[in-house]
Formats: sequence, C-alpha cells, structure tokens
Amino acid sequence: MNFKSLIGRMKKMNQQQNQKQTQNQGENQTFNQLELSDVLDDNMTAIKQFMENPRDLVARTFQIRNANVTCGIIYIDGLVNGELVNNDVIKPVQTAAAHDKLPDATMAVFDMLFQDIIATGDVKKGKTMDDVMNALLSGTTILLLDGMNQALLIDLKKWEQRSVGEPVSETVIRGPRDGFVENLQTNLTQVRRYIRDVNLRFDTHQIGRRSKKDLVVAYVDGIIHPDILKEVNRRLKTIDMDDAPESGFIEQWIEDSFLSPFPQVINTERPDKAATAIMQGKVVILLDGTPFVLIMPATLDNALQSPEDYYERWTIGTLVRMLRYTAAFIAVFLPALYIALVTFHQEMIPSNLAFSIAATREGVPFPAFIEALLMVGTMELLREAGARLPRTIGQTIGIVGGLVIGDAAVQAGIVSPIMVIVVALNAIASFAIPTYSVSIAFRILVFGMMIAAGAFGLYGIILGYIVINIHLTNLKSVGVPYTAPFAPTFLKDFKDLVFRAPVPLMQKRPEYVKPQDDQSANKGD
Amino acid sequence: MKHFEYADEKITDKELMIAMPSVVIGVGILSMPKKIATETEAADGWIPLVVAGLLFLFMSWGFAKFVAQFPNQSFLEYSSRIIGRRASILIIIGYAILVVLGIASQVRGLADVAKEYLFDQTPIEVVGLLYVLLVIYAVCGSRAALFRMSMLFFPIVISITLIVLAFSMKEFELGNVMPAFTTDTKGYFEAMKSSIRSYIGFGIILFYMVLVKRPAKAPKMVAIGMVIPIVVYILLYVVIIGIFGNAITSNLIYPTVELAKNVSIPGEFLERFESIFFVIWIMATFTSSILFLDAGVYGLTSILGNNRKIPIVLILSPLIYFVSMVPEELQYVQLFGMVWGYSLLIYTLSVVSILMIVAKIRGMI
Repeated sequence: MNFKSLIGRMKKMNQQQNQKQTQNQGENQTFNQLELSDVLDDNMTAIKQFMENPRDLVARTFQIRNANVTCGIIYIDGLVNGELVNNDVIKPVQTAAAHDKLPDATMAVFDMLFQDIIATGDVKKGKTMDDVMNALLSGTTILLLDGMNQALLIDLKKWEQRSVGEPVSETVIRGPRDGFVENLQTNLTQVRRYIRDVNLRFDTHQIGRRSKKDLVVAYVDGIIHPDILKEVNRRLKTIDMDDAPESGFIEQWIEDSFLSPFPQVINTERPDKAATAIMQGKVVILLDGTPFVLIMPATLDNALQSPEDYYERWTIGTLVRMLRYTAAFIAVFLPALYIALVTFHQEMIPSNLAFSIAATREGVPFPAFIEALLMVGTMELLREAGARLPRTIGQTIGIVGGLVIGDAAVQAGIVSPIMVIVVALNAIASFAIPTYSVSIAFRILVFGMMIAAGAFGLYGIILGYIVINIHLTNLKSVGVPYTAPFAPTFLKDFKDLVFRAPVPLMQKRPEYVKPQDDQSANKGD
Repeated sequence: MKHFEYADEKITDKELMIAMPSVVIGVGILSMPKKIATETEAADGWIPLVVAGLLFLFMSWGFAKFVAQFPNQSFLEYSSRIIGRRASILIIIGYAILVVLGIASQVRGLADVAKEYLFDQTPIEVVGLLYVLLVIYAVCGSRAALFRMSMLFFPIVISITLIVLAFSMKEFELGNVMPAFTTDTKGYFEAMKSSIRSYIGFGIILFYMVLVKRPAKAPKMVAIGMVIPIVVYILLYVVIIGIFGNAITSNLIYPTVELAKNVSIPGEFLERFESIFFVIWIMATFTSSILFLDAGVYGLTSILGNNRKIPIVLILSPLIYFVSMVPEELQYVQLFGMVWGYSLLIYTLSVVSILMIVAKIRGMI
C-alpha cells in the first residue's frame, strides 16, 4: 500500500471527523494507530502535507558525519528554543560518528541517539503519526531517522510569555505578589513551590477536539475526598468541544447548574489562594493558556473570603469578614430597601429624615423605583465602560461618570441626592466583595430585588430573600451543598466563617469537604 | 448525585431538632396571647402554656420513640404492617386534607396581618398568591433543602424575637403581671384549649422519620426541639402582659405585633419596628408551611409509589390558595383556624394512638 496515498486519505478523514460531532470510533483508531513509515522522506512529506507546509514549520534533513545516515528534524519555529535545538540536538547528532564508528543497524543507531547523544532531559519515543503531530503542535522537536519507523520527541519548548507578575484582578496589601501566568508549566511550578508535599498530584486531561490543550487537576492525595476527585474527573471527561480558550469554558461545562446566577466554581489568579484551597481538600483545575485557575467545590462563604484574612491578625480578619457580610447585604438589598421605604412605608422612616427625604425628592419627576433603576443602571454602564476602556482614557470615565451620576443629575432635578448616596453605597459594597464572579451575581440580584420592592415593598423584599435562600439551599457544587457550612451546619467550620479564629485554634480542615486527613495543625507545645 | 452522606436526602440530628420549632412556630403566635389573656387573669396564662407545652413535649417524644422503632421505613410501610394498606392510605389522605386546610389558614392569617400592618392598598388575594407561589417553588425543590432552609431562617427568627423582647423590657411593669394564680379552673381549662393549638405540628415526624439519619437519637432531638417554642411562647406572653396588661392584651387582635410596634430602637433610625418584625416573621411562617406541605406531599407520593412530587404539589397548592380565600371576615378566619387546629390535634392523637395500640396488640413493639 502506498504510504503517501494513505496519508492523504487519513488527512481527509481526519478533517471530516473533526467536523462531525460524533466521532466514529473505528475510523479514529486507524488514524491514531497509523504508524510511521521507515522511509524518512515519506515521513517528512507526510507531516508537511498534513499541515500543508505552513510558514512556521521548520523541516530539514541532515547527515551524520562519517556515516551514511540521514536524519530529519522538524519543529515549529517560535515554539522551541532554536539555540538549544542546534546545540543539544543537531550538533551532537551530526558529530555522533566523530569518535566512534556508528553501529550498522538503524535500530541501534536510534537507541544510541536516544540514550547517548541527545543532551536533553525530556526525550520520548513516538511510534504513530498521532504521537508525532500532537507533540509537534505543542512545541516538541521531532527527530526522525532514515530507515527507522519511530521518532524521537525532544522537549525543548520555549516561547514568548508574560513574566510572573502581580495579579491584577485580586490584589492584597500583605501576601505573596506572584500571580499565575498563561503558561501551564509555570503555573504548575508555582503550585509545586507552595506545596512541597510528595502527595501533591497533577492529573492531566486533554481538552479540545481540534486544539488539544492540556488541563491539569491538582490536589493532594490523602486530603481530598475521593468522591470529589472522581466526580471532577468524570465531568472533565465529558467535555467535548473544539477548543477551550479560557478556563471559563471549562467552568461552564462542569458546573452543577447553569441556570444559577451564582458561580459554583471559584476562579483565582493567586497561587497562594489555589494552594490554600488544595490544602483544604479541594481540587484546583489549571488550563494551559490562562492565568485563571478554578477551585472546586465552592461554597457561598468562599466568595466572601480573601487570602489576606489569614495573613493579618485574627481580629482584623474577623472584622473584615463581618464587614464583607454586611457589604454583601448592602450590595443586594440597599436600593430595594430605599424603594420600599420611600414608596410603601414612609411611616417607618424617622420623621426628621422623612421630611428631608421628601424635601430632596421635591421636583424629582420619577417614582423612587424608576429613579433607582435609572441610577443603578447608569452605575452598571459606568462599570462596564470603565472595564473595557483602554487604561489611558479609563480615567475619563471616572470623571465623566462622577459628574453624571453625581452632581449634574441632582442639579438637573432628575434624581434626589439621597438616591445618589444609596447607589454609591451599593456600588462600593459590591466592589468590596473579593470574588468578582459573585459580585456580578449580586449585581444581578439587585435588579430583581428592586423590582420586588417596587411592586410589594418590604413584603416583596422578604419574598425575594426567601427565593434566594430556596435557590441557594438547592444549589450544589460538585455535590457539596452551596450553603455549607451554614446549612447543613458544621459548627466546627464556624471557626473560619464569619469569624476567623486565631491560627493556633484552627486545627481542622473544613469539614464540609470531608477531607480524609482533617488535622491541619496540632496544638503545639 | 450522591457524594457525601450529609448531602443526601437525609435529616441530621440538628436539622430534626430545629425542624420542630420551625414547624410549630407559625402565624398563630401573632394572635395567641389575646386568646389566652381573655380566659385568664394577670399573667396566669403562662401556666396553661407550660402545661400544654410539657404535654406536647412528652407526646412528641413518645411519638418519635414509637416511630423510631421502624427505622428506614416510610409511614406507608410501617403503618401498612400495623393496620393494613387501605387504612394507611386513608390516614395519609386525611393528613393531606388537613395540610391543605392548615396552610390555607396560615396563608390567610399572614395575608390579613400584612394588610393590617404592611399595606392597606394591596388586596390580600395578591399577598396570599405570592406566598403560595413561593411555597410551591420551595417544595418543588429538594427535600433536604427545606430542612437546610429551616436551619438558615431559625436563628434570624429567634434573633428578631429576642431583639423585640430586649428592647421592650424598659416598659415592663411588674404590676401588670401580678397577682399570680387568680384564675379559676374554668379559665385555665379554656386557656389550655388555645395553648394546645399553638403547639400542634409535630405530626410531621410520622412521615419524616424514615429520612432521619440516626432514628435512635430522634426522640431526644424532637423533645429538645419542642422546648424552644415553649420558651419563646412563655417569654412573649409574659412580656406582652407585663407591658400591655391583661385587659388591653385581650382587646388587641395581634398582641405580638403590637409588642413590636411598641419597640423603640435606640438611636431611632427606624420607626414602626413592627413592620420589620412581621416581615421577618414571614420566614417563621414560611418554614412552617413548607415542612407541613412537604410532609403531606411525601405521604401522597409514597401511595403512588414514585418520587415525582411536583404534580402533587401543583394539585394541592391551588386548593390551598382557594381555601385560604374562602372565609370573608376575620371572625370566620379565626373560626377556620380553630376548627383546623382541633381537627389536626384530634387527628394526630387518634392516628398515633390507634397505631400504637394495634402495634401493641399485635406484639410488634
């Protein structure tokens, strides 16, 4: 059978398969198992033909000096360290026969290259076309030998990448300054540096039917409950998409309920936060190409915690947490309360305040509900515009926005000054939530609560609150109830909830994830 | 998905304990002091409250003890073994009817109080409808979530009660409470009838015991749980009498809400505290309604032999809503509540005693 025609057929088949949703198992296997030919030219042509010889593909053949052996080297320019390829692969191979005579059998030469000549740590053997192509696309250098139906896959990856910097989305005053980057390997190193435990495990998955990306599930064996791990791995295996450009895709594929506004997976850019989660008995999912790693399972109280709570002394940690819980309530309920009080229950406002509110509302053409909707809506616009603008003109939005929703709106008589205070407080409170994804969820709920309050006053607010509670108590994250450890109640976990107990007293890992080894600290003598 | 034992549809000790006050404390407490004050002198009403409370504590303990002898069996299973399947189905249907009436009376009571204290414009039909919709949403969800919700709401309800009690204390007059023990026997007897109605609701353990994780500990937990409403009732009653005096209390329709109305928060950043109190009290009523309804639905699903509770909820809830809107005046609403209270009491007592006696005769316990 002609090898070239087979390659051509396979290529066509491969493209068709990718287009089809369901992959035919049988055909796929033949493609995966298509073995390399023992003619060097055939292999080189096949690889080039597969990719239609793109610009960044480097493929050349060369001879081993003093021996009649032809080698081929293939890599993608820009994904490998060219200098190392020259010094550690091409040069030693070319001069392989300078001192000793090469063995006659090609097999022996191949083994000698593998064992002796190539001066690189990570070298593997590849037998099938699939091995070679996947390795090539992920930045591995391929060394082929004429007369040999195997390839050496030499890992000399290097590409331009952002250096480790301070995470932008989560800043702390005290704590490590490093953040995750877009390179999986660097991120794994960072996790490894934080957790020097032999039981730290990295399970690898490949995600994406076309663009095969590495995804790593990191956990500490012996702490994590095996059911959590099994379930996360099971869900990851169900992922079947072309490409996962960001971990958000993974998150949305494996979350428990996509109808919920609450994120059931916490994401972070901070290695210390990820490491703490791993040590608590959770799973961390790292995807190549994004600095955002996922933490599962997540509960609502995770959203209101920041790593810094632990770094500062416990009194500060506790007070800050209380502040955040208050902020969470302000972020969801304040505009609704204002609407309810002004529209339905004026008698509840102390009379002096009621008079001044009434005086400021004099001339405001809209009912409180419309007024609040306008202002909170404008606030959202400002926030979104501020996030998308280039940094250089980003300040403009602050000034313009401050004028628009502040002074000008009041002077124009469109809104009352009290409304401006309410909206500002509400916005500040929602920015005090350390987890952005949960903060957004709260911003959505604000509107729901405002409608409830506009229609039914305090009664509407309490019904809204009950609805949120019904939803939360039904929600789970990888099987862990979202409202844990409040309900189901784990009193031991209350040490690290609204209160943050002094460090020597926090001896147990959180009970709600059922860690296998629950002792995280001892009494100390 | 079953991953962790605690995430299963099981009831833990703590949840069972909290479920008791959650289901017992409802809308009735808002008007209860009036009924007792009418029959008794000074603050003597605490005596029937304590007596009735202790009576119910022992009864619920006894029920739990009895039902716990059939671990991991649903009500239908164990009662079929005792009195036969047909009779058991009749019992469940009877319970479901009482549940419909009971929640209807709660809905109506709540809507009436809302009209009185929260808004006078909005029709009670709308207030009631929203509440029923919310109950449907909750009961259609997972059963464990209902117990979790009770756990979440209970501390809030207790806190608001304590706040109301604490801030009313400065107006407390000992003269209103004294002299003690001046009520005649007939008064005590009449007051007992009203007190007893405030404690009913523990019948849910008949149906929920199968879900309890450790049935052996259930009687203890149920008994501890029943202590909470007794304490809350007595505190509220004595403080209300101490502030308003017996005569005024017996003329107030909702003395408990009036108590909250009397509260002045230091700093005076909010007036009319009773609106806040009542709004938070809706949570107490809500947990009571959902646990009641779900117990009934649980019984009915076991008859049909499947686990689909949503159709049953959707059949029962319109009934609840319509029944709740039938009585036209306040006196009928109260009569309705009274009739329901007594029927549930008689029903629960007779069902359990029949079950117990037959089981005893057959030598099953």
